Amino acid sequence: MKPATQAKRYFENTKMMIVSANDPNKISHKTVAALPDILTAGDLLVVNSSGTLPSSFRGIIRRLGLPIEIRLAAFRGENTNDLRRWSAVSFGHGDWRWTTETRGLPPPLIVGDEIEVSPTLRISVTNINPGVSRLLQVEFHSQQLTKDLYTFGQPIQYSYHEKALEIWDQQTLFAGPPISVEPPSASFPLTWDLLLKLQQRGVRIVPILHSAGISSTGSAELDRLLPLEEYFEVPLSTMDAIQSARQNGGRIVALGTSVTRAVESAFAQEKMSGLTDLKLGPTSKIRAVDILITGMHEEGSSHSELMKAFCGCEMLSLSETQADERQYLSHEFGDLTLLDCGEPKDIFPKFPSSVI
Amino acid sequence: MKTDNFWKNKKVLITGGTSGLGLSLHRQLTDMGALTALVARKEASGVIRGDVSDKRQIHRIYAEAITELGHIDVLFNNASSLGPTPLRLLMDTDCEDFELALQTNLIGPFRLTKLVAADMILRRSGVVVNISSDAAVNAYPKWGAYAASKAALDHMTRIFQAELAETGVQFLALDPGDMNTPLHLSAIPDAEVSALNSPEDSARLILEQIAAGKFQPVRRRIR
Repeated sequence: MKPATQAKRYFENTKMMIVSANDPNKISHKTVAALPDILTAGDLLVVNSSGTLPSSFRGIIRRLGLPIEIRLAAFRGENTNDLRRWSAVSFGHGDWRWTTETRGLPPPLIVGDEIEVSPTLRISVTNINPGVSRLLQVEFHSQQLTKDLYTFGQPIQYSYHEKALEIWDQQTLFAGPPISVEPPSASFPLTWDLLLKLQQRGVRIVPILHSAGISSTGSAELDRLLPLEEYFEVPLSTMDAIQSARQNGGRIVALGTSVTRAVESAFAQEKMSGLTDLKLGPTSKIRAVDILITGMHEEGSSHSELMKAFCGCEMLSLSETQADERQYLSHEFGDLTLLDCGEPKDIFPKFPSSVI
Repeated sequence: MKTDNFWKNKKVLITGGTSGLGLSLHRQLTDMGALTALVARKEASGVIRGDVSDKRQIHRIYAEAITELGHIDVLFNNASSLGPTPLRLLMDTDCEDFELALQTNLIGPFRLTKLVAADMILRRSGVVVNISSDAAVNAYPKWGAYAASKAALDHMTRIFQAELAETGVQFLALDPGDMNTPLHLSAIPDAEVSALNSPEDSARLILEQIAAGKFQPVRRRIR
């Protein structure tokens, strides 16, 4: 599958492949404009309302006097009012025009290293993954942190793009607290016109927050660890809406893999917010989400593994073949897949009242 | 008392919050237990420094506001630019000065509203207040750039309200009257100060009106 190489959005004209998990004859090809005909009154559309922070920082390692790039990988704070703590990946020589695989090795860091990004902003290394030394936990230090993050951070770029992304290219319709490092891009093709139509037809739209993490590190070893632990929040009002939709026979529709991870984490880990290490794959039991709307993902990626929890490997392979034949585009600004799990979830766990 | 109850714990973002009407709104809101974040072009303690007319700053300004407040219940698009001062006939107004007035008084509020109202729609609650002027409806000579931008702001407010009528988000454009503020005095340096409204009185009336849920029509002169 070819990646979309421009930050251009096609909105309702974006291609959307409809895959019904339990019927291989039911792959169909529509556009996003068909969503109001697919979703029905009582369905619940859950969206990720995180904003995307410019997450690439260049600085000098104080101990060595050498330059380094730190790309944030996921938010690890305790709440969205405190943006100090993140996981991160270090990069060496090169820039975004190079594929991540061809970037130079960064200077080796040690716990306690400080990276000076500007006279007002520094990063300290608080943890280094024992197996993969480029994977870090970091903490920012600044008297005006949010301002400095936006002043000195640059959007994470993609080498296959024709032009560098601007900060506004990365934001979705719902962009709020800036805890994603790459955009939760399944909502890029949506418009408020379409969302208001859905609402008029009785589809409720509710938010969660999830830190959409880094997608490419340049290291197969590191990519295998994705998704990393990521921060999520499922508001009580959204949890109520999920329970209520299910009780009334509505379907839970996750707009994006990050929404799926947040909602499933809330049920699997019985908590409304915090870090999640939940990894979804072919053998996972999906508890809450009935339909996943997501981008076109390549075999082997963590997103593709998550899709297998909805429709199984064979079905996914069949859908990929059709996507290739019909020239669907992959990656952030590409086309969409709608995966209908097809299994009615008659048993739905009630959240323990002690947690709520 | 009713006004106090409405505003208690409300989270409010005010642009142009360090002088005139914006400062009065901030003081009264704080007294009533609301939490405010202020945006201003000048450096000041506790203020988000930023210029809403600059496309490159708007995401940072919004991020600073929601990091501080969590979410926003009420947005006051209050920052205004007169255009060229001393005020000039339209025929003597540079295109660049006209553009700057539009960027500050119309496009800036448009950008900020798009960001703030998205979350309000998801929460099915929120108020966006655009501070307008009687210059939006009366053709005062030499107020061309400012007046045209405020007229457009009024109409943008009406269209936002029509388009989002079913969402629970309210839009309002208010004319606070001629006030004794730095903006008015830079427009009319020899204005008779005693004939002007105090920004404190205008702020009080605006906050009472919102607390009372008076959102129709979109544009009104506060009294």
